Amino acid sequence: MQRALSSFSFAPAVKVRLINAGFHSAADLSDFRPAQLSKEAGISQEEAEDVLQAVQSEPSQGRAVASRLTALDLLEREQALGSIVTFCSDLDCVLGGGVPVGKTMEICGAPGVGKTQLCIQLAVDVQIPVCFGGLGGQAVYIDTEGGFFVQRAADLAQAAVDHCSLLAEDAEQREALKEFTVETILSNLFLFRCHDYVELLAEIYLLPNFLAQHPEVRLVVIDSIASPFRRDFEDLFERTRLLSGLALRLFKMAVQHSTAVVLTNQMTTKIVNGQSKLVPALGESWGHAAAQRLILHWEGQQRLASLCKSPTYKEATVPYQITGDGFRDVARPCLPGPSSDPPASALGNARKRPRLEEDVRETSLRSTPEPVLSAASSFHTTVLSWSRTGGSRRGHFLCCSSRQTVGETQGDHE
Amino acid sequence: MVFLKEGLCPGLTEEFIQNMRTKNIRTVEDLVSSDTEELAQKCSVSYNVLVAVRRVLLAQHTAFPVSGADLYEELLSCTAILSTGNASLDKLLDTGLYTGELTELVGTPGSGKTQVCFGVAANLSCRLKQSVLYIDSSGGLSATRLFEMTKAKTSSMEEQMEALQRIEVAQVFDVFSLLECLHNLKSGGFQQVSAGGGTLKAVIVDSVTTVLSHILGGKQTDGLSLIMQVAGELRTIAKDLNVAVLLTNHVTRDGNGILKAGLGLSWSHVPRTRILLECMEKSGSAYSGLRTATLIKSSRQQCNLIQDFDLNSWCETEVELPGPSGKRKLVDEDPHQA
Amino acid sequence: MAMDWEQLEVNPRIISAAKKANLKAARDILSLSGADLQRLTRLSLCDVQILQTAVAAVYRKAPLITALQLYQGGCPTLEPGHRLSLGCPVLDGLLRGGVPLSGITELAGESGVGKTQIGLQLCLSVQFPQEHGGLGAGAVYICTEDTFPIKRLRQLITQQARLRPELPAELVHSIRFSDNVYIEHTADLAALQACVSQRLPILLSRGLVRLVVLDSVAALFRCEFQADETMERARHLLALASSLQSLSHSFQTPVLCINQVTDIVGSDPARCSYGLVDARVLPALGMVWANQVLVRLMLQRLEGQSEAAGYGGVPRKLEVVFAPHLPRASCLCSVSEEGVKGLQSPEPSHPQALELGVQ
Repeated sequence: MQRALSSFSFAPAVKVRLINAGFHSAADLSDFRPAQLSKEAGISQEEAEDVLQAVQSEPSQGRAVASRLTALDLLEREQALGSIVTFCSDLDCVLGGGVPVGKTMEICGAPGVGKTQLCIQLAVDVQIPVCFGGLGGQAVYIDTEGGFFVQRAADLAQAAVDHCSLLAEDAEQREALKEFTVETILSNLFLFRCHDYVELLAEIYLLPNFLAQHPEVRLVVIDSIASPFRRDFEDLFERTRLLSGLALRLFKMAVQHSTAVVLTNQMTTKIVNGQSKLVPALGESWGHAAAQRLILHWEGQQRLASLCKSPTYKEATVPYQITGDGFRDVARPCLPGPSSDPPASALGNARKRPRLEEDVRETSLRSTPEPVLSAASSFHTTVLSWSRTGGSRRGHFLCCSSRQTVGETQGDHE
Repeated sequence: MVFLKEGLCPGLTEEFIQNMRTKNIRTVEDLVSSDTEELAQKCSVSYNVLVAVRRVLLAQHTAFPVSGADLYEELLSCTAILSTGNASLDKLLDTGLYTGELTELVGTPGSGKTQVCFGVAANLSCRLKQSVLYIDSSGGLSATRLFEMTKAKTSSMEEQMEALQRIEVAQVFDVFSLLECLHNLKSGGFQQVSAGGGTLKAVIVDSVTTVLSHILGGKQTDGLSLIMQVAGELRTIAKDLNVAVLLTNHVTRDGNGILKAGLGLSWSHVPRTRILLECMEKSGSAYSGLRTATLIKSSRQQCNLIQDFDLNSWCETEVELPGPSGKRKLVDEDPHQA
Repeated sequence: MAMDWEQLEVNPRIISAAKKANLKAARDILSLSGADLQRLTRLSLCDVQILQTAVAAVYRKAPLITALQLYQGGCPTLEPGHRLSLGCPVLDGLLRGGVPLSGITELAGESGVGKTQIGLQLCLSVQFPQEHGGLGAGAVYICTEDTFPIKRLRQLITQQARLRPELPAELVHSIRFSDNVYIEHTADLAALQACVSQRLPILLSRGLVRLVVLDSVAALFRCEFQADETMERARHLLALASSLQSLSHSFQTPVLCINQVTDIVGSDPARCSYGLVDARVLPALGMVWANQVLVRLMLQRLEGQSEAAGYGGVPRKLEVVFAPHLPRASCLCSVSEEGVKGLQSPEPSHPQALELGVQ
């Protein structure tokens, strides 16, 4: 009860009056009634009631203490939440199975490099039924640039449906496929359009309520965060302040509603030591906003994805391509990666991902939980991967008993 | 100061307080700072009672003087130096994190602040078998990564689980919930629940800036008071509970593009030790685990000490740790030249 | 936008506090931080959050829709499946129907390659009714470089029947094409800004116009700013793009911006090549502008190519550099008397069959 009154979230003016009247800690208010306090401190009856309520509910905050987690609980939660596959197995490897649910991620890149494509791909993939190793969730897509074309979403949805129908083996999967159609995918994709930053802010104030009503939502995409905030601002301090408040809100949303929050950001030219280079927009402090940052960029004709900030996984760069069907692996003829294995052997090896030598060396360092925890033992990540070697289309199905091992091969490949 | 209340000390009756109040004396401060004789006349209270009350209140509310020798004794017996688990950082910190002190890590996005926090948490819980409170306000906490780090330290599944249980996690989304969390910690909420055994030795806040920066600036002034309150709570916790406090903070650039710790001048005095983390500029490998740590504020060592280290060192198993692949050596820069 | 307090479903106490704090616009309430708002209104944090959520609910203009509703055309104002046809089935095939109605479409290319031709052709095709790929309205053509090529427009009008043989001849002849092309000459940036902010909204709101062609966007920005004024240039460029975008969104009007190109000299780490490895030139105005563009097209001359079957002139290549709904693809086209026509390109024309990015 020694908690200082100034650490409560009262209105500042009320705080000042309380302190001027000599009240400093919660204990000072312990045996006051609202009317008495209102007279004593010169605040209104309602304000006094609010104050006393806040202060007296204080001991029951023991609940908050009890609901605090240990890292073990958090680990189990992270594993239970899983991640959203990207359909690019190289990128999934780097991200440890896909875009993690319950965390924030920023995707940066030059125009046309594939940010929106990846976002739409994720919005489709988050809906892959659980029996196919997906999350069976829904997606919210906030479009601020007008880049969401529903025809494109339908293309990707069709490709995902086709892919899963190739994989369907047992009755459960075939049953799930009946519910997994382009129509259901599109009907589980909620779209908001915003044209300026105030509309975006309004949307973000309202999202928690929406998410509470739609508990199946596992992905919130904001494409892009940059354009409304780069357009209308003269006062950059004000912008930084708004953005850091926004970042906190998004983090809260990701945790409380168990959704992945994916933001896209533009690139801008910055001059460092007389040399210009491309850096993500919105300033350096915005770089702290998302827990993970993925930069998509070109190298010659090749599109590359670089994970350049992640609390969990190593920085790495992998190639990808955008096909008519969406975000996909690049067929690599030189590396005997999983994507060039014939499907038969992959299925025969269903419990074990074929590993490269480098992978094995890295296993002890990077591999994620073996299924030893009781809560985690039922945890299987299914990686859907797509190979298009030699122009023919083959899908295959990999099932790993642990999360993907992050091989360094991709990093070296650069 | 404290509000005058019945039961605060023997002579303080309801009537007495009412009496005082009419003369606009409400707090202990008001009472002790007023002229006793004058007050006794004005309020028609007995001078002796007033003096007695005043004496008791003074005794209750003044700081207790401690001799330097005692303080030193206490320091020796209580202060622990907690190794971060990374030799290079330990060297910068003069063998590790000191309990009772605030240590701050600053750096640009992706410079490895969060990874260092993980490393410290894993090392404390796993190697030193102590409890850690990890307050996450940036969404950067990854239990998966912590688990990997503990796996590198011990191969026993049981120990790994215990180690993870010793790390308690609180996710806070605004400055008030941070203050509440710190307050609960101070009032003993932590000890009741530390399941994995061990005593609380460290509090990690990653990051203080995310909850504070958006209330700074703008048109309002009390952002600063909240910042100082957070600082005060953290200091009290460090002292009272005798724990090491590790904070992370963002950086800003001044006019010349030099990196400075965020949150402004008044915050800059809060931590005792400050380390700046930077990615190593190396051509070829754009993204690697190699980082430079620069000591930019310290009361024990010369500033501007620079050490190189590898973020992946916490994930290397015990056996590999002294191997050549790990940390490379340390360029001690002469501060006079710098 | 002034706040309509009546609409808010919150405790009157909160509303009166907000009024007392002199908060008038929803914009202010939404963009102030919780602590600022607390200070202004003297409300507790909890009340402030209630207020912000309520204001947000009132402020939200667009309703929530699912992608399925869009797909089935349930929301024509949000995403009409309709596109503005270029007047040539091959080119329309490349763009999956034509130019999208909402957002900025950029056409970049060297001088004399035929960018203006495509702009003029769109000014005519927009005048056809919806069922024939148009929007049944006129066009605004903003010239910043040269004078408007009025002779060429007349020629194109007379040749419309030849360009669009699939349309009924009486329809083509019944439209008075030249009456519906509004021409603006803007010699400097101020004039352009005045045109975009004042005259365009009037024309658009009266429904007279459903297409804006800006030829070219680069000219003014390249000559009015010195090399050291990049920040200032970027600010003006963003402001222009922002007003064009908002006009485009609110009136569902395609905006075609014709852009110049710059030569690639040396190697600049900050240059983004968009995966165009063998290109000699890149669209002008850099990353600031590129970020504002929804669809980027490039028109290039194919030197050294022989005359393609029966059409005059050197064949050009129209390439989709990027677009959220299109694959990276290109097709050959030619500029002839009747207009720009796509040649059946050797590449598979159906985008589904294309593999992008990597060959």
